[in-house]
Amino acid sequence: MLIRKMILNNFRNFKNTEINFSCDPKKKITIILGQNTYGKTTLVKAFIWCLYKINLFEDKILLNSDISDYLLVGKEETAKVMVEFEHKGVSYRITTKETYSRSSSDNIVVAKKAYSTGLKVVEQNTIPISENHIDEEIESILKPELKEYFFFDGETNSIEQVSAKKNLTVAVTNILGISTIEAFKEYYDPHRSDSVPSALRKDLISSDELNAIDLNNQLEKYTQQRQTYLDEIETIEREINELDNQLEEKNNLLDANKDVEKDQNDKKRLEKEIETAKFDKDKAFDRMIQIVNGSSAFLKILFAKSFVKYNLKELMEKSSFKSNSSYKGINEEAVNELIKAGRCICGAEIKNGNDAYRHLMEAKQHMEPHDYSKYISDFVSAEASNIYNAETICENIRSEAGIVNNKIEAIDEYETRLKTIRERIEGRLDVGSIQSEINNIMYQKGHQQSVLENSKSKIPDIEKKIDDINEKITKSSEANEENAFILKCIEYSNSIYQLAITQLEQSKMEIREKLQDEVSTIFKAMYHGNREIIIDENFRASAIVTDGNQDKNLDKSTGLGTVVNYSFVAGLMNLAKQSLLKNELTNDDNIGESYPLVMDAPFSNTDDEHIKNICKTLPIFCDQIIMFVMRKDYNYAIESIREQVGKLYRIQKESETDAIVCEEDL
Amino acid sequence: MSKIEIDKKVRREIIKWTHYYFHKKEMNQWTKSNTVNEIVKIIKKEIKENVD
Amino acid sequence: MAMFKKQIRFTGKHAEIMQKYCKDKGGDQEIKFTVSNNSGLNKDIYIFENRIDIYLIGGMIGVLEKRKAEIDRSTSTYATIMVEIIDKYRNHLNRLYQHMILAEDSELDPDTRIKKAFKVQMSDEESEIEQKNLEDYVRGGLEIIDEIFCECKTYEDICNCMFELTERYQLSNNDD
Repeated sequence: MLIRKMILNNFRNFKNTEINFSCDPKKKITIILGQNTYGKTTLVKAFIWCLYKINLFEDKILLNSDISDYLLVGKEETAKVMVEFEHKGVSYRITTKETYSRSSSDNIVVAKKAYSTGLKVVEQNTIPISENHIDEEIESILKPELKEYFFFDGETNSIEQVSAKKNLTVAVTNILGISTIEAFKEYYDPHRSDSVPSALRKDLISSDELNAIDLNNQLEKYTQQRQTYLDEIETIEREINELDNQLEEKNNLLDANKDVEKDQNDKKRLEKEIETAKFDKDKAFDRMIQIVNGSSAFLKILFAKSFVKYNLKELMEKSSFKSNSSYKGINEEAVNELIKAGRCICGAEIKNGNDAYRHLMEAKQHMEPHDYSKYISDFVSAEASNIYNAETICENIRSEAGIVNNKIEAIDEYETRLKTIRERIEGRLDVGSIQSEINNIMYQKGHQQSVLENSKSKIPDIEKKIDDINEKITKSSEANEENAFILKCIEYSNSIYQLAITQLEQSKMEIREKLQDEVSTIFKAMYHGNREIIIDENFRASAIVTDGNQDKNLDKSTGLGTVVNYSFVAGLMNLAKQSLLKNELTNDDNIGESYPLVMDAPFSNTDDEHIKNICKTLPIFCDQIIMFVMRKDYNYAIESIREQVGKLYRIQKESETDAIVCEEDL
Repeated sequence: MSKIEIDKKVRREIIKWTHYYFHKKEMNQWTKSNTVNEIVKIIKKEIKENVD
Repeated sequence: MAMFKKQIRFTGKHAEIMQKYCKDKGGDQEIKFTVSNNSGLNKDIYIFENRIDIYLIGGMIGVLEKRKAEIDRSTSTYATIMVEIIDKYRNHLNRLYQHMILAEDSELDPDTRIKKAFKVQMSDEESEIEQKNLEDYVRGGLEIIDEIFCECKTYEDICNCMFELTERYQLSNNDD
């Protein structure tokens, strides 16, 4: 399928727009330039609405607001989209309109719901397509499942669905036709109460009514149970998928904020350092005060100082009190007693004025309480000790004071650095909390997975029970000849079911291999490095280094991730083109068809080399490529893609309600 | 269960009609039970006519 | 010696100085010595543990700097040192007195000075006069201590004062 042209009239913010897409096989790319909000999603949704009459807009009024604002009561206006495209040599023009009017209560209402008309040109004959057959016609051109997978979003590097997010496995199975086989499996599944074999069973006549009722009740019960579990499983799988999406989002956030993580770690470290420094400072201060007070240390420094300053040693030496002249063990009082007694201990007479008397009077000056030489020598030796210690004590005090000052300086420095970091982090994401969110999600995911496992494990048992009951029913029916026919029908039905089961597995495997080959070929053309693509059983693509180790750190910013995704999308599209599944269950008419690859912001995460490669390679595998690009990205990529671009447009926003699309020269 | 010989041509025919009704369902908003009923009819018809 | 027999009581601004820089605060009004942390938090600190410590050190500083000050009664604050403490610190008190006498410029000759410094018996009158003399020095020293520390607002300030003090009174420093 090649899109030739699209015209919009009064459709959303496009009052009158015509876009001619490039169909030149040598220049397959059509570029539409515009900022993010300018209306590119609108154009894609317009396309889908025109072909399928599916309105993907949140606000369901499709009529341009300026037009609807001026709509008078009772009058009508129409929103219209026309698409011209080509398929298998036949040209088609589909026009879809929806008419609106203003009601008497002044609201804009749908006057005539979306209806389509069509024309096709076959070998120069123009044939109108009736309204009844348009849907059928379009469905045969473009597989219904494909309409939802149009959009490749360069921003998030994923196959963005315009309508709803489903998981990738579902996407691939739908695109590649496995869904038909799955439908077969479902319709012929004997474990389902709404299936063909179950309907056939209802026709069995039972000879033993009661037993039959009982068995049927049991069957009902188990098929219900099974269905409940299956529904549960589907819900949980959806939830797990949602959790995975969240995980990816948050991990991307983490990656983008690795610098914040470093800052946060530094911040923690600095805070710890500050705390330690404060503690040390306080301790040193306390020690300093301790030294001053301990055993009156400071006082003794002052004593020593005084001794030195006032030359007390000299003073004392100048005195007449000599140390060797002191009498120990005797005091003045005792001598006075002797004098009073008039006789010394040695027997000598003591009389006023005699030698003994004079000696004793002299001696009194050298004993307590006049033992000045002793007092002096005690003083001097005490001060000598103080002098000895003074320097050390002063040193110790200064040392602790120094530590306090150092710590204060360090704390100042740390706090300055901390302030800088805090300012840098402010407003940025808290990496720590993102990480805990991630942990939380992983926990939830783990929980869901175990619930899933549990539910899944219950299914085989129930199916066995159902099989057993069916067996019983069959056995009791065999007796009755009238049932032979029905039993035969059931047998055919079961055979188809078995076919579906085996072919489902086989097809998935085949598809996976083919997809891997296809995607690898494209990948190698776009990327020159030592990597290979592998596709896992959930159809997810990843690039591994050729020696077999999976590279977990797919650096998205260099574009490797982008290239992988493009390869995947292109490979998928290419496969869809081929008639892949040749087996009994598929319809031979169901040959796949290629359709245009619509890409949104494809260059925003890639570098020069990859842009070149992408633009060279994709056109090989896609017949038509439509890209929505921001002008700055286009300017960057222009040299690489100029040769491939057939048409260039830009969306210009005249106002909120008015956008125009203008062609530009290449 | 009894060993009934499956006539592959008959099966093929049933499969073809199943496709038809799948297609019809998606087009015309038929319900699933409609489709199932039609398929049941087809099976009965085919087997009655073509299987001894 | 009759000196240092009764409790010591300081009044007015000298009492305030004593209380401010001591751990052992008392009296009717709490006079704090506060510094601020890096983070702006205020902490109450002290330089001397007991009032007897600051008395003694104040006395020595007064003697070293030859500074005296009269009794002040400008406020109703008072600070007391109990007799039990005085008894414990008697040796230091005596030593303080000795330094005071020995250091005093006087016309007294060495012998007389030494006799006066180490005098054991003193009359009550004499004791009172001498103790007052000593306490004039103590008051002077307290004022000097206050002059040094009153401007301190942070830990750094205190440490810098400590540097200053140790430098002033270290033996290798030859002043005057």
